[in-house]
Amino acid sequence: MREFIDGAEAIARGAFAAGCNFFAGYPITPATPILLRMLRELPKTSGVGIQGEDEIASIGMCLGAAMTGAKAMTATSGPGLSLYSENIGLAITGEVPLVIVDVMRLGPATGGATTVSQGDVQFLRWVTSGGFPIIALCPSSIAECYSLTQHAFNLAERFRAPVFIATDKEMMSAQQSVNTDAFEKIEIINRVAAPAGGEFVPYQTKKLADIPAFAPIGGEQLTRLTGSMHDERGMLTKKTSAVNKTSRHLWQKIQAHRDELEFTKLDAQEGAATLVVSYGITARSATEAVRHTRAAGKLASSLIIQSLWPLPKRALRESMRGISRVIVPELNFGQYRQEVERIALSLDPRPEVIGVDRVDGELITPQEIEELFGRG
Amino acid sequence: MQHEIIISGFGGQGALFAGQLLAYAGLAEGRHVTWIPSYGPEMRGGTANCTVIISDEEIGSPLVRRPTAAIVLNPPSFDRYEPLMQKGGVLLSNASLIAATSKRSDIRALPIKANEIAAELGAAQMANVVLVGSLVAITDVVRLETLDAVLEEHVSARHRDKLELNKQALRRGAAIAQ
Repeated sequence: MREFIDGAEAIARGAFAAGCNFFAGYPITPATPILLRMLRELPKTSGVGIQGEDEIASIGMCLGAAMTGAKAMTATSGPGLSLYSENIGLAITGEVPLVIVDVMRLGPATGGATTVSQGDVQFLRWVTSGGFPIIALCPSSIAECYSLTQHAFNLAERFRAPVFIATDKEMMSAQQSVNTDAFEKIEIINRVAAPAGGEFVPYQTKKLADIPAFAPIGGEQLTRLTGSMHDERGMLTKKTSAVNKTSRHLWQKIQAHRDELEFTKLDAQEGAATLVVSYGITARSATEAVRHTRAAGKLASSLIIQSLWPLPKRALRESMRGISRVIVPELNFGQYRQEVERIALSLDPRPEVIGVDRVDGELITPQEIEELFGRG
Repeated sequence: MQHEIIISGFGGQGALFAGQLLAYAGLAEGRHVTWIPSYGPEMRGGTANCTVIISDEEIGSPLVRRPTAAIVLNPPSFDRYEPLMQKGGVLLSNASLIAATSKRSDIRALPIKANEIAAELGAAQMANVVLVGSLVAITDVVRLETLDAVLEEHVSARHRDKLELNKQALRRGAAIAQ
């Protein structure tokens, strides 16, 4: 069916398709449309939708719900993400499956509440204390808002970890005619349940990179959730061997699977010397720029990043091989460009990496990118 | 054919609604459409505008830098968009509030006293709909009949009694532009 919808609607539908049955959030432009849709739709099923008294309470409720077995989501923007920070740490260390949508808006503090930005890219990577890895997906179309939200739930369940959807004001509020029948349905993955009976050790795994089985709080088996450094029983500990094991597990469980966490779209043209690396709303202008450049008889390649974190190193390295210039357009001061540059350093010949940075609240135009294709 | 339209005014003048009317009509006619709202953080007042693209082809970037058509409802919007109009573009301005007129000879500029027309109908807040009527009368963006059908579908229950007035506003706008 051809429908006229925005990204917020597609994220909500993706969440329902993935089996989301709990949402708590606090209104904030430009994330409110997601909250409103979840509050409207969840009670129609057996789900729970709550507008919390603030952001801290909202994410806290999501953590609690997720640990009783719910598939939970919340949505906010930069200022709200700041308030989420502490509880995101709890979700990482407690291994809580949770989907968090960050609808990016411009600037620090209140900033440009109704203004587009991609300024939270590194904030998402280092969103809480400790420096542990997180997973962040980034849709660049309405169809991807639907499919990547399902992936986000699957990854949250599979890795028992908070998974972010990094998006922005324009992705959420721009409405577009789309064929919703063509939306991609993803097979649902649920967390591995602890076997019934026997002694249950809440955070026990065979290997460091394995994910512990899940038993819900309030269920038959005794389980624990703590923000403190803990052993495999979930008990606070200072014992170096146990601390080392938990730290390395939280690192390994994402890092050891990073190849499976790479979501990218490569559109390479044989012999092209220039590659544009883009993500989110900016990928639309990049795609248009590539189309124009090719129409003008020149060669151009494009890599669209759908999983910002962990950094899709393999796809970046492979797409940059033999390329002499990489263009990275972003609505920030080059937060992802610095990652691309780091990979470029390891390549021989080493491509030149140039950015198109825009921080005035307007989108990067295809022409701004096209000009760089034309040069040299 | 791709129409790249901007509708702009103060918050409360109905710029966003007017854009949605056009977008829904484009959709009803089986075309590709995008609608992007842009507004300030103010609860009331401030500026509000939207960008509508209606196209026979898939739409790449939803950005519009140089509109093919614009409806400007207040003086700041006129100042901002008049110089940006594409050659051959159509600029409809709400002459009830905008004293300035375009000096450009390469666009079709049409000042219309939309507030007065709407007030005559007894619905002062429908200046936006009057100008949408004017736009479809002198361009082939969408058909007037499609807008009627869209109004039927999208005027909320609360404003149901205004449905006929909206249709009249469209027609008055169309008549005055022709």
